[in-house]
Amino acid sequence: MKRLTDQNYYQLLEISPKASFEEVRSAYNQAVSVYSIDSVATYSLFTQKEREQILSRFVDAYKTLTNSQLRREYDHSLVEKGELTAQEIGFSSLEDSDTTKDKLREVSIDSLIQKVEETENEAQPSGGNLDLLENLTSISGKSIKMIRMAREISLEQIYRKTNIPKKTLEDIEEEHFEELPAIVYLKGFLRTYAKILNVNQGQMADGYVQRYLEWKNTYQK
Amino acid sequence: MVENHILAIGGGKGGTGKSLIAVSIGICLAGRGNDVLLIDADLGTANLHTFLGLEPPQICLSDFVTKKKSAIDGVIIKTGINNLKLISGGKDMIGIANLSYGQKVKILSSIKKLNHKYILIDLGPGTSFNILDFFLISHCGILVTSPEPTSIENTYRFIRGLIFRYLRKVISQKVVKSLIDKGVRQGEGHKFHSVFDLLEAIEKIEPELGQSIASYLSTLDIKLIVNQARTNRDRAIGQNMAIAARKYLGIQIDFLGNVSYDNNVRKGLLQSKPLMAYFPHSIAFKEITEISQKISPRYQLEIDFSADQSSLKPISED
Repeated sequence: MKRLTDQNYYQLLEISPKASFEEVRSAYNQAVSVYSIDSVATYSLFTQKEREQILSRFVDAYKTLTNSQLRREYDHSLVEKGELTAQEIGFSSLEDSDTTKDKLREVSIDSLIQKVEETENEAQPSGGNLDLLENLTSISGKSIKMIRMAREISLEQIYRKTNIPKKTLEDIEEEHFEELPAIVYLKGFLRTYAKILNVNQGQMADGYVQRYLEWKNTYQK
Repeated sequence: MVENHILAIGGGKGGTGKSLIAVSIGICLAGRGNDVLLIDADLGTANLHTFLGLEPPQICLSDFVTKKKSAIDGVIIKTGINNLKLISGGKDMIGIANLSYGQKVKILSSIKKLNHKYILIDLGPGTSFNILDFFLISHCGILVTSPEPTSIENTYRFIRGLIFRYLRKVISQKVVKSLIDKGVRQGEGHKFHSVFDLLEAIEKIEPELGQSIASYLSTLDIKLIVNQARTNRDRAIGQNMAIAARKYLGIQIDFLGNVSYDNNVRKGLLQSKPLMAYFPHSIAFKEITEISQKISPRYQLEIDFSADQSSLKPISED
């Protein structure tokens, strides 16, 4: 038994030292939903100060474990302290690309620490699945919305990062096809949006445009 | 040697549906052919009979307490449901919190000797020592909370109270006992906010004891049900409470599941019928059935309530 504040980042998030970025992210999201200020489950358990300490520890864990460089250093420090063996460390180098790193870091802090605005009746999205877009040719606005919610990013935050008008973002998710800009712009928007969501840009753009065209063929002949 | 499995159903706050859950789980277990006894330990404000659609019973637990009946078997009544029997709480106003030490020991030791496969004790609200002790003689304690913040807060209070009470009973070292008492007197256990705080303090006095306390605590079987859940947000509370209790308080809690808010419950009560008799297809009943399937016999904590009176002297609860 170890105090929360004494646990290393892997123990804290209850993940393996080999956990992928995606696993780190979903463990982190889970933790935020447990410890955030508007979590009914824990509001009476901590003082405000304790809660801040706990959350900031989770944020540190998240920031460190989703950054290849920082994570490597951290892993080494754990090995030096004898908390881990050299065999135990090391996560998939596949994810170790600059783009992934940037996106994951962008998503963190300002967005994730805020509580998921879970619509009461809406099914809770899964912890976010990178494969969500695979094997799909046509991608609906709803799927995009689900991914965004799984990532716990608001439209406002997407707008701030990408400058895509909020209205357009909403139209994309709600499939107000008649309101959407010309395909060439739409594709560009979708690629930028996909980058933030950390999903394959080409797939998301092409998949959604595919859906758009299906609609167009049906209703606008 | 009696082979019974005692389940206590409690929780800090009234109105969270403990009685309904207790009766419903009892009916489910009995329906699967188990010999089940329900005990209404909510003395004074007992109403399990109402949930079973019965008239206020003429004999009840108080008759045993006041020696009108010499054996506890004498106050067991039938419920009209196969395999399900009841000890009703009481028509007079002895609250469980006000039982004398002797009365409490008498009830607890008699319950332990009862020969039924499952004994479900419905505790009243509150976190008084007597209630905690009923919880502690059980093989398994089930906490029922509603999604309301106040109810959740009281659930944590109950858990903390329970842990202090338990450790005080199983640890023999006087210095440690008085350390725990001091912690309790600080109110809400604020001096020892979590098990970790207490462990740290104890290890300063008795370095060896840390390990055994950890193993004592791992024998506690605390389960949690969230009742009257309406939204997905409500449904996420139980799991999150279990995580927070484990990570932060250092206590393992087993989340059994959610029971939805169900209008049929009220309808059933108005007709004086148990939920499942008239609304077998209600969501709440389905959920309780699933929960009851997760309940299985387990070993009993070894706490001797009749011995060591000196150490059980009531400590001030203020």
